[in-house]
Amino acid sequence: MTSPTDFVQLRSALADIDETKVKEIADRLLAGSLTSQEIAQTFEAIQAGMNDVGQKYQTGEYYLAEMMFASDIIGQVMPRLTAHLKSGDRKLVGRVVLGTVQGDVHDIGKNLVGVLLTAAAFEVIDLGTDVPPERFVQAIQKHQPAIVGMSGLLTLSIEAMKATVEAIQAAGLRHKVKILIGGNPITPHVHELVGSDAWTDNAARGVDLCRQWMEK
Amino acid sequence: MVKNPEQLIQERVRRLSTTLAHKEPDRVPVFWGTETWIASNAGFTVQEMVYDYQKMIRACEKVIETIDEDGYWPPLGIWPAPVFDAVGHIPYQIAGETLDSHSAFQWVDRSPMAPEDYPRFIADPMRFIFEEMMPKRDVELGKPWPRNSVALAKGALAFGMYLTTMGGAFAKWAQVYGMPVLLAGISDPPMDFISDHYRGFKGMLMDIKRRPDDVVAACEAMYPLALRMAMASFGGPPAPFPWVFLPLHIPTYLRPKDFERFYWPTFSRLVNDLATAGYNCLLFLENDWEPYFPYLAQLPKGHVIGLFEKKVIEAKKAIGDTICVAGGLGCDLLGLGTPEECIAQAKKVIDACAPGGGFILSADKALLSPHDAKPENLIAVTQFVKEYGVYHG
Repeated sequence: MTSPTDFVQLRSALADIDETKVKEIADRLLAGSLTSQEIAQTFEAIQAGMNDVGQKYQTGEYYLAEMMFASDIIGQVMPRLTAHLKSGDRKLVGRVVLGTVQGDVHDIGKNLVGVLLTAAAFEVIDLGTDVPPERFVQAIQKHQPAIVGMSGLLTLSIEAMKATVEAIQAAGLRHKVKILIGGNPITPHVHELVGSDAWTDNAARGVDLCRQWMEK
Repeated sequence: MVKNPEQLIQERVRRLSTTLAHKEPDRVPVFWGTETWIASNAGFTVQEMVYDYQKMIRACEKVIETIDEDGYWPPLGIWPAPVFDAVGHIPYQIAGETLDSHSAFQWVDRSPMAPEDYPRFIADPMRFIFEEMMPKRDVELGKPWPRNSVALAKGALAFGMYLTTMGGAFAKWAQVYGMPVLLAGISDPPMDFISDHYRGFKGMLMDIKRRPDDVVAACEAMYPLALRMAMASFGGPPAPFPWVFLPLHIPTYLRPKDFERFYWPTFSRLVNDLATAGYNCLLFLENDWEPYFPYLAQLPKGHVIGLFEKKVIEAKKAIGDTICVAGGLGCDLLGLGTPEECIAQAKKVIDACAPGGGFILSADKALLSPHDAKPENLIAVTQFVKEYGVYHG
């Protein structure tokens, strides 16, 4: 039996990144069988809590350690919650194809964005690391996402991002997707060169951008 | 008058040392952190260079001959692949094996050490590293005798050959070009060492939340090894030049209060102990260090160069009385911009940072990938600094 305060508490425990409390509330909520509405409310509480974490990250109260910790906690809770889902229970806001571009095998930033997007009710298709342009193209054809997210840590990834955008263009798919590029070497200069729709060097802001695109 | 190599090297070292002492030298010094980028600049792949050291040396010499900096940044990030192959090293991904032949080395985040291993690490880090970590990270060393011993011997031999070859090249550069090598000796501050090699980046960020006391104790246990590593890799007696290289990785992902609790105690002790022993350090400061300026300002004055990725002008203003600030030119500009755009940025940074000394012009990142800098941009800026960066004291 859930009470409305459970969801409020879940959100604030997540915003405070209080692992013990989040798990305690999650255990309590997930012990029984949940109605569709309760599942939806739990997702909303997680989404709101992660959004609070993202806001605190952007204002400088939290650093990456806190973002990673929060995402690790919900990474443990979300699969348990998803197990309660029946199809159609969760309204998704959009689909994102995500990957670290060819030549780069770093995945920490991409994985963080993936968890944050999932918490924000996006369906995430994660292509992994070192993803060649043609695999991005194939994934767009297959999954028809609204957004393509490309990640890279090395400056080497800039050329690969450019090549990937070109491949998407050549396949006639450029107008069907919004392209977001992210990672440490990404600057406005790079964004211009690559021909993306937006850029970020901050995971939380990246998720905000995706959300704004879906609201339009 | 053409200067001979001996005069040149003295002049260059004096220029660097004067600015480190927070006095104005004859002009602003300039160097570039040219790492795997040197391969494409010389028409090689990174893969060729990491197996054929003569090609690596030729690539270095092309930079020395064409760019003419005030000191040469040794190829610290171009590790000898035969050594890694001999011991079966896993963490590094090497060009031409799992990566493109032009790629810089890449590091895959792994956690060979489990959270539960902390007590054993803390009790005896040396034993833990040799007996438990090395066989996991260097798989040939984990094989049954005699394969492990043969692998170790092969690795040691390969490393010795690499050091001898590069040592000969460094000596030649001094004699022929009058070009000093900027760095000798390398160490990781304890928290980075444990994070980079054993717990992984993500693992360490979780540990400070879930087992903070273990992290503090492990850094303390690691400290003597980190200090010894810096001194042993420097080779020879302590000297104020070249500098000991300390790449800092995890700090900017920590809240300042966590930085203060976990990172700062053993890091600041490392810098202080090295300074007291007669060494100077170059800190490689990736990402945004502004929140930590108050800490850096407590490091020993005249002993530390900070190579800043971001906010170089702010750093000079806030802590330039203590730290010699290096940086200023972004790789996006060096790689994508024109010489004129690069020079405009160099002028802006010199105007803001040069007064009083304690400033070196450099790039914001190590130059790794072929497009990190156009050679003509490096040449143009280096030349510009020589003309525009003159002190009229």
